[in-house]
Order: sequence, then structure tokens, then C-alpha cells
Amino acid sequence: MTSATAKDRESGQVSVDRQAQEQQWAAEARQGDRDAFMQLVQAYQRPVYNLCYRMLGDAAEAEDAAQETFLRAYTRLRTYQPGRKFSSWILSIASHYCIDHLRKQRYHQVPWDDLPPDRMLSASDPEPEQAALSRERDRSVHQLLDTLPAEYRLAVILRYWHNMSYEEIAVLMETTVSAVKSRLFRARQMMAKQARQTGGADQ
Amino acid sequence: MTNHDLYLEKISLWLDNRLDAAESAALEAHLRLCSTCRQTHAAMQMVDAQLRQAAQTVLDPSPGFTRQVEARLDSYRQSHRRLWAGMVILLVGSLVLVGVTVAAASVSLLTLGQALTDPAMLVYGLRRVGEFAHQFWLVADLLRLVVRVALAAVQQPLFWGMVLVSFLLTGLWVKILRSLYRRTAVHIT
Repeated sequence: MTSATAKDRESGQVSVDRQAQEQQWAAEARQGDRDAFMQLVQAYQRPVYNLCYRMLGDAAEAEDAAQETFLRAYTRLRTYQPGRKFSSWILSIASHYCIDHLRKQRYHQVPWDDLPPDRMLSASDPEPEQAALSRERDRSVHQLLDTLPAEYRLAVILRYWHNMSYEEIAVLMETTVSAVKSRLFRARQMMAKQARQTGGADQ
Repeated sequence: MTNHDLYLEKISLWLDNRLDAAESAALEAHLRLCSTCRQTHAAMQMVDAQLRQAAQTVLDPSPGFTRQVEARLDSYRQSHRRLWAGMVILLVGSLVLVGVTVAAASVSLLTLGQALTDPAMLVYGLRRVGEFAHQFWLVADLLRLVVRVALAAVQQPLFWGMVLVSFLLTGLWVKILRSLYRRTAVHIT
């Protein structure tokens, strides 16, 4: 169903060694070591960018949001608690930024932005035709995500794109597991309704 | 929450493998009987499959992403330093201005004290205050008193020296701040 390589790349799931390395980078960055911080940027640019892109639906806005996320992380390094997964912390900052951004654009319909082909990686679609198909599939999924309120959309993105458990989502969204269950249910219900209205033609 | 909603919520949990065997069996039994839930179940499954498929696609930020983050960090650090420098200059400038103002006020008070030692003026002032305390002309009268005091003050060379220094320092301070904030207007973009 899901390519483990692709999933790992995006979800920020890291090995124990990698976590130890990141903890070290985070500790050094807190001491003012900018190179260590840039290592964290290098490690998390992709999951952060992907989260922003799925939330905002626009490549330029997503890039700006991802950069702003790292800038905020840099200025708030003192609030990072050693021992906490850095991935959760940085994705939490990105999530809050995107939700705030969407709230400001409450009545603004997010346009679907066609990415240039070289900006899109896929573990299983290397051919141009397959890539085009993948883009079309992405477009219809984005239309589904677009029907959701920001908090529901975030729960769906964390669940599917970042492969997070209910408990991890709850921690990241600073809410309860019960609320996460409810948001995912409502989101799925809304998307199912939308899919039925469009006759599933977009799949 | 209706009976349907309860089962629909279970469909959502089932999609995430969060139902045990007994709950799954109960859900399947309900779906066999309820066409409404069955339709929603099918639609939710379809959406779930679409999302799982789409989640395999990983996007890369632009090639210069890390360099742009570095540039933003540089810009932030410079702005931060300038802000602190501005705050220090503001504080020092404010302290200098307060000092000059206090000095000028002291000179004025000394002048006023000298003026009040004139018994004729003191009696005049007290009498006028008593007479017109409740009347509109009080303000005008007091203004006249202030003008007389000021006229006495302007005859003091030290007073003018203080005023001149105060003006010069204020002008210099404003100029420094304007220059500082013109350079600080580097937005973190």
C-alpha cells in the first residue's frame, strides 16, 4: 500500500541513532551552534515542506511557510525540551503556522498549484505518464482536503502523510485522543460526502 | 449522536485498525443490514484508498531551500542586533534628555525662587489668587505670572545654555534614531 522508503522520507520517522544525533544537534543549536541547526534544517526540510504544502496547497506559500517554521524554531530553541522528538516539535510549529495562515485566509479559496515535475518525487511513479497520473490523483485529493476545516485537514495530513498514531497527533495538536478520533471521523465523513457528490469521478 | 453516527465513527476507527475483533464483527453485521451505512462505508474506503495512494508522493522543496533559510537567519540576527542597539541608544538618549530637562527645570525653579523672594510680587500673586480663585481670569492671571517669571528666567545665561544643549541633544538623538531605523527596516523575508 505505502512505500516504506517514501513514507519514512516524509514522515520524519527516524531510527534511534538518528534521534540521538538529532538530540545532539538540537542541544548544540541551543548553545548557538548554527551549523548544528542547519543540520536539523537539512534533515527536516522535506517533512516540514510537505506538511505545509498539503495544508496550504500552494508551492510558493508552502516554501515560505516552511522557511518561517525553521526561523521560528531557531528563535524558540530555548523552549524545546530535550528528549522530545524533534520531528514532533518542528511539525507542531509548522502546523500552528499553517492553521494561523489558513484562518487569516478564511474566505480565500486555496488554489491548487501544479508543481513542476522535477519538484515531485514518488517512490513508484517514475514514468512521465505515471507522474501525470500521480499529479491528477494529487489534484483530486487536494480538492477533498480543501473541503475540510484547518484542524480536520491537519489531522488527516498527520495521519496519512506522516503516518502518526492518534496519540502522536493528539500531542502535536495539543488535544485529546478522543478529539483526534472525532476530527478524523468528521473529516472522513465530509470527504466521503464530497466524493459521492462528485461521483468519485476524480479518483 | 444517532445510531448511524456511532457505526460511522467505528468505520473511521476500523480504517485505522483501532477496532478489536468483536467490534469489527459487530460493525460488519450492521453494514450487512444498513444500506445507508454501507454506502458511506464504501465512500470512506474509497477516500481512504485515495489518501493512502496520494501519501506515497513526496515533494521536495526548491534546491536553494537551505540557503534561503540561512539568509533568513542572517537577516533575523542582524535585525535582532540592530534592535538591541536601538534600544540601548533609546535608553541612553532618554536618560540624557531627562538629565538635561531636570537641569533646565532646576534653573527655572531657581529663577522662580528668586522672583518669589520679591515681597511685592509675592503679595500681588497671593492676593490675585485669592480674588480670582473661582473665576475664569485665574488662568490668564497665572499666565501673566508665568510670563513674568519666564522673562526673569531668560535673563539668566545658564538657562539659555541649557536650552541650547537640550535642543542640540534632541536633534542629534532624533537623527541617530532615524538613521538606525532606516537601516533596521530590513524585513525578515
